[in-house]
Amino acid sequence: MLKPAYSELKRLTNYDHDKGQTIQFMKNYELNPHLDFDRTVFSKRYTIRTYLMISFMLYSALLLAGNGYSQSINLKVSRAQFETVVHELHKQSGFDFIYNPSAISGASDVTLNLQNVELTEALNAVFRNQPFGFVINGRTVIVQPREGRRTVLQSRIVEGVVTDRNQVPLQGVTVSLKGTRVVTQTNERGRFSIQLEAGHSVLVFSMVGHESKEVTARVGETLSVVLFESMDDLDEVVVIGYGAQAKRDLTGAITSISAEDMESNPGATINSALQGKVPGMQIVTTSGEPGAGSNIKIRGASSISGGSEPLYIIDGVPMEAENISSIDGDASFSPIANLNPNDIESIEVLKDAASGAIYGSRAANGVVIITTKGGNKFGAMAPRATFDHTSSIVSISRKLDVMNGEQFRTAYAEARANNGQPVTQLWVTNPHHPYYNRTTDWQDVIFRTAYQNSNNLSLRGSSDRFAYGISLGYRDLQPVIVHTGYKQLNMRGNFTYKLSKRVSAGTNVSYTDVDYNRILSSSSNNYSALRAAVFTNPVFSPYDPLTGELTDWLGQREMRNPLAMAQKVPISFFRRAVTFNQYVSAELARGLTLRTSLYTNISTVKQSSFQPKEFDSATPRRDFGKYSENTANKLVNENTLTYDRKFGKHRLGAVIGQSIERDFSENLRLEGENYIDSKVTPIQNASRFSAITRTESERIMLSFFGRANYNYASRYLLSFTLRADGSSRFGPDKRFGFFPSASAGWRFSDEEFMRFAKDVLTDGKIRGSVGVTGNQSISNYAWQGSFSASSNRYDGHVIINHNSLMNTNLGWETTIQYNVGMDLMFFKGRVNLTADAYHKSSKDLLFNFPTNYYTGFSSVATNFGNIENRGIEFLIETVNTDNAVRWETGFNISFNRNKITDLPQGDDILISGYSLGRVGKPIGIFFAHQALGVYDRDESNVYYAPDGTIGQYRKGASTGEVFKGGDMIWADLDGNGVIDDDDRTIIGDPNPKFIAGLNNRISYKGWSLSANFYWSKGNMVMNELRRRRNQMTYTGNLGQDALKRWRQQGDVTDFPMIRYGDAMENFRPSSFSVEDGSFIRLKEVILSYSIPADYLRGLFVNSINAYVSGTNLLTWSKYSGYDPEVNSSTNPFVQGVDNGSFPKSRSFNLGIRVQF
Amino acid sequence: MKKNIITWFITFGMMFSSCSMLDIEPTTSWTSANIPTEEAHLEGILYAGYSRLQSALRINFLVYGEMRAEVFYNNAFNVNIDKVIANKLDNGMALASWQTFYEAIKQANLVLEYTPELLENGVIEEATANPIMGQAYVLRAYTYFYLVRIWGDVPLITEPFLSYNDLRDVSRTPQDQVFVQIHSDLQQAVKLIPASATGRTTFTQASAYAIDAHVYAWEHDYEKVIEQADFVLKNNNYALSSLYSTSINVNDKDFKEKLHASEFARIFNEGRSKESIFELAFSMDDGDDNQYLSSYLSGSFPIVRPNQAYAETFDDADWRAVVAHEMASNGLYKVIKFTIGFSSDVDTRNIVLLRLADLYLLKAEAIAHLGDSDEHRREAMALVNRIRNRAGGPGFEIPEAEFMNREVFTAEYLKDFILEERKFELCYEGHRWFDLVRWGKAVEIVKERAGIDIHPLSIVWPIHIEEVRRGAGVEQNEYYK
Repeated sequence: MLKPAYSELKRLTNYDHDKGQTIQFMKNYELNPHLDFDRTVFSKRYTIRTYLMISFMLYSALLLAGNGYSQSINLKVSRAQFETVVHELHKQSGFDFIYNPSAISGASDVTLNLQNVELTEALNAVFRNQPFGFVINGRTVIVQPREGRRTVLQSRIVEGVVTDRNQVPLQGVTVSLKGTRVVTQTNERGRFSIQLEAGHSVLVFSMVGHESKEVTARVGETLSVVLFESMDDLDEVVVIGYGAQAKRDLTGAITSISAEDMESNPGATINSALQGKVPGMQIVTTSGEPGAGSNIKIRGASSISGGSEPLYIIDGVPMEAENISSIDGDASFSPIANLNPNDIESIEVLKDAASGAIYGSRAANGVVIITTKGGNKFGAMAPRATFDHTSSIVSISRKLDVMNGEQFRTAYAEARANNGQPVTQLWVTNPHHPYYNRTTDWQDVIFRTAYQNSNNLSLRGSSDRFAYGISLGYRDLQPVIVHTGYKQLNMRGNFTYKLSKRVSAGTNVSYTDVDYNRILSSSSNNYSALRAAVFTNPVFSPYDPLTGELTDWLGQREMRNPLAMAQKVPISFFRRAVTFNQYVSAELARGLTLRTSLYTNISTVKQSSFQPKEFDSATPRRDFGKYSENTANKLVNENTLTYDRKFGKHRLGAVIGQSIERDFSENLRLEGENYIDSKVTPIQNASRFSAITRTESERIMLSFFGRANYNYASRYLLSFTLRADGSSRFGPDKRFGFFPSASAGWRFSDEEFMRFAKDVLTDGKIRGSVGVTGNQSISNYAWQGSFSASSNRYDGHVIINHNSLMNTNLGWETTIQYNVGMDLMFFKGRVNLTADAYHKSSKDLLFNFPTNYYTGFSSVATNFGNIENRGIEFLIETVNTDNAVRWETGFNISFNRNKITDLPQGDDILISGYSLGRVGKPIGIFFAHQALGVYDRDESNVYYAPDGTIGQYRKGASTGEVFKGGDMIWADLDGNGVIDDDDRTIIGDPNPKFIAGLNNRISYKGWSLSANFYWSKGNMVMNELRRRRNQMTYTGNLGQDALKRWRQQGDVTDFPMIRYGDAMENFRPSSFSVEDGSFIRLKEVILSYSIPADYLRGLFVNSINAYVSGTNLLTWSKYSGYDPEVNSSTNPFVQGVDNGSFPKSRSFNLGIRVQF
Repeated sequence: MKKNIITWFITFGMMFSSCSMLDIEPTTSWTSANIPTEEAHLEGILYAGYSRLQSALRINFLVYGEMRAEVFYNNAFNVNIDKVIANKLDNGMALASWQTFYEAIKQANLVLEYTPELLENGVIEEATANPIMGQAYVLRAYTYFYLVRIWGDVPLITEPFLSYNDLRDVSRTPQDQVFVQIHSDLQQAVKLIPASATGRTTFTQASAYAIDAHVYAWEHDYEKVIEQADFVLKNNNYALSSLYSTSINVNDKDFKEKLHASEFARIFNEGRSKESIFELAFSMDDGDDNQYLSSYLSGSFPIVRPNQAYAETFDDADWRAVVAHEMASNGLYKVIKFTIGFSSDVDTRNIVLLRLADLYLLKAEAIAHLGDSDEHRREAMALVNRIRNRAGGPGFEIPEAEFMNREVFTAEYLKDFILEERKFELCYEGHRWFDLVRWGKAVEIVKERAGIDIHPLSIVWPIHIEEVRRGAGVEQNEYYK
């Protein structure tokens, strides 16, 4: 269906802006009968189809209008040189002229006066008195002698354009004349011209990552060559720790993601791009807020202390990723949100120990290596500017069903009555009062449909000695919550330069600026806007129904007005970061390179919040403000010596190196009260400071590392690494950790005995590795214990609290990982399969272990316990069709089984109420009561004691309250008739059984359609939001599900009675609140179109690509909350808890990318 | 060039290869290794102990000491307060956690551990060391006294946990042994704290005696109560603040204002009165944000209000009632004792935990329990009348003829009368519940006056569930098992 439309468009555009072209087509045809021009007569249908094309045409038309070329020629010359005239014609028409300077030596001067004539007419006039003639070929005018075909051959020039499948010109394609030494390269417009030699007419086109092509050329013709990306990517270079390696030679488990896989929406992040693409990598964002933090696990959680984040290496610099928490502690922000996804060239995820061990201490959770674009390679690349723009319409992907005013009124009165309390509130007793007689769905008040856009401009190019990439990005991401705003500015410059033949150097600089105006998004804080959207009493209206004014409080000062809060409570988040990286590398001897680098960054986060008086519930009211400033500074010096040589079939590589890293941070936090003005609220306007805290923190890490690789004919591969890391975080005896690894690979497909299968199995490799990695994510100085002065005083005296215990035994957490894997390539890359199986066991886990309160501490930093992760991962990539239509599919699936294998004394640990650690069970499994239903009437509560007596089930103690009709029936596991702590059991596992991703891309000429799915199966979610609503600890709206609640004796239902304050704890954490969080999400669909290079020829635009896409379009899930994927905690121990974070948004995007 | 690079590389590498660079210490806090090294450190640690006690008691002095009695009802439906007032405690309530109390003990233990060390090393002198240690002893004793009164048997920790290696499971120590420790601490304290120390917001000799008297009363060792109380009563640094005055007339237009400006009212609203033995210092300048008093008691929508029946037991001639609470226009009472003229914008109030009148009545209580001879009666009632005189003048005293009339003033009635007098004198100061428990009357009186059934085993609080879960050895109180 696409096919005819496209080909007609091509003709149409040709015809449209090059009137008279048909004539030249004919001429060409006569000249070169072998040229493969489509001779079909235009169909009348095209005019109708045109309309379909309008949206895309619009862009090109706009550009054409401004191109400065004119199809009608004005020429007024007198005795002008022929060349000058040609130049003028070129300028006016945009047509290229090809001629041999010697051929025009006999040209006579030209005198002409032409007004508004077509090009052909002008050419005819110019060439009229010349000893040579011309032919037009496409948009090229070839000057040739008049004598006829004999001399035409003499010029022997062939020219043409090389594009990729999407009609984007390819620069740097090597064009060689087969059998000769004649060779040339395509320029930035993908164009080339080459001189044929007698007896040779086959041109070979080749380029890395693309399949080579041979074309038989004829003199004078213009070739249009399309190079397909090669399916066989074994020569592709993969970035590994301190170096790069051909994919062919890898022995570890590494997954590469290229720039193309980045998402298309303005809010795209690295994490969202990686999700569903890397087998074994589970990414759960803490909320849908811009820049939100994530909970990332590569091959399962192997740590408890809050450090399950992988190590990020950005352009060679390690960045330990700790989420940044907001000033009110209600949200966390991703440390890598300051990277512009548009700047990313490739991402490599190192999953096994052998790949990661060179990063030693911090690689236990995997390593993510990010390489930014530009300035990487030398070579002749003319400056190329690229502009991207994306516009999006964004809205929340789901709304919850809340009660309407009448339903809630009834429910509330009932909830109070169940406590024996009379209801006196006006909104219940006086339902027809104009203030209370309507319903507000506060979600409609708090959420909005927002417009977001992102813009990027980049300039990249290189010469033999200098390569550069400069980019500028600006994103305006209005969140879907009213009165919020997010703006991010990114700048980056990457430069590489060759100082001499053997010495080269590079500089990377970047700047990020984030300005975010937010409102509270999660946490238990009762004025979080988002919770307010669901919890606020529906009988209240945001505006006074009589005066139409926005009120600060609802009812009779019963509840804050979330809309007024959103408008009047300013919470700001600023983040600025500057990075600078300089390196020099020198080739000391053949194959031996010394590289030294120095990296530094400064990043500042400034946050402030202010709560005006009018929202204070105390009397008299006060206002409160907070201001905090965190500055972090990192310094890394790294020195490596690399050796890489090939001796015949032996290839030897080695790296030794040493690095030192210093992290320094400074925090200032001020809290003030009683501002002199509620509009202008810098912190100094507070009349009193209630807290002033300033802290500094420093960490130093000293490391030595080395790696040796050996391979024989890429068939037998061996690699060893060793790293020693010393960290100031640990006690003097425990400082240094040693992290060795070994891996081996065997390319069995290259063996003699496999030759028979070569047609089917193009390439096959098995690999195995074992290695040790570490983790040091515990706070600085943790081993030393801490005493600190508080910002408070006692009676004017400074106070010094003993905050944490010393632990001289505190040392590295280590993980041993075994990995076996297989890479198979069938049918020359049509089918690629990678499979990995691993076993990871982590011991001496770093953890703030809960202590008894009688110690005066609530936890102590220590190493304890073992965790094991086992799993298998598959990645299958296929090219289903590869003719005019190319259809590629990538599918990955991974299964991970997590188990705690040891805890001190085998004791259970319980974190935040119900996340359990128990030997033999997965980490963070839910441990709470089992709900069996609801007592339909009081008499249904009967307990048969083992001694034969009959009693009733009681709550908490043998003297506790008896459960009545409407209360939850709990499983009494110990059979003692008392429902207490001993009756808790495992009620669900937040870990998914598997996660999978399915990515499809279909391309046809300039069109491409891709769809990405992400699937998580079997993960349970604790729906805290719903549980807390039902508890009714204060007046908050309920969900529609509470309509089926138990109301009177005899009601048979599974939803207990609602009772203000939930005295019988019917809504305690239990299986009632645990839901299946499995989901399949259609993450993104993109339809894009590239305008064929042909039509852009002669324009200053090189390529144009436009797309429409949708993000988070569909989610299939049984989960009743906003989003089954949200986990409110960044602690890896606490998983699958939905406290009602900011939901993910759905966006519809329209984008364009123009390359100049 | 090549050579240069290598040389540079090697030097650079050497420079950084030294491992001592990993020895870094925090710059904005101290580590266990470098504190305390001077007097100011010890003081800081001690004051942090006071500050922890402050956190433990800032409103909880009422929650633990009074709310379970017949005094209050829950005005704004606050779930936890409701559970306390209804005496339906559960082990998940934050109030069931003793964490903050033990943080105070932690700080006291640190002082007691390190002060002798510094003394030995000659860093500080005895004259500075003694008062610091003495205060730490009182702090520890007083905190344990609260712990025992609230939870019964508690783990007795007398040495600080300094390192991970010190951690061990500790089981609950029987109360008797805790009391032995408390007495010993207080005896140490009076030896160490100089008599010249007369602060009201820090522990003094007098406060050590006063606490000891209370502990003995709790143990029903009445002779000891008298002995300890006398140390305070004879100390002329303390005197009763005045209330009744002949210059004030009940019919005065500004009667209330005058009482609100009286010395007695100023005990609570100005602080550091001559009657005060120990009070927790709160101040905006210290960063205290003590709105609890107003939001719990006296704001426009207080969390608790006094029961009307309770408030109306006050005699019309008892001027203390005017200072303690007032009836709002809607007929409901609210407590104003600590918040007269309070503006949460600018005000905080100290919380008076021990004062002289308490000791007067405690001694009277002890005497009454020791015997019922005329002499006992006279002595006890002299103390009570001294307090009543202040409250309502001579006319408010109980004449000897009346209290010697054994028909009306039976031995039991006399004791009850003293208990009742404590109620009027010390209302809303966090004593009532502890008094009832000490007198063994909690179950009876709360049932009779508030209609709430209390199981005798539930007089102690539950231990927080987290604590029970975490420790081997911390066993839950029987009732809450």
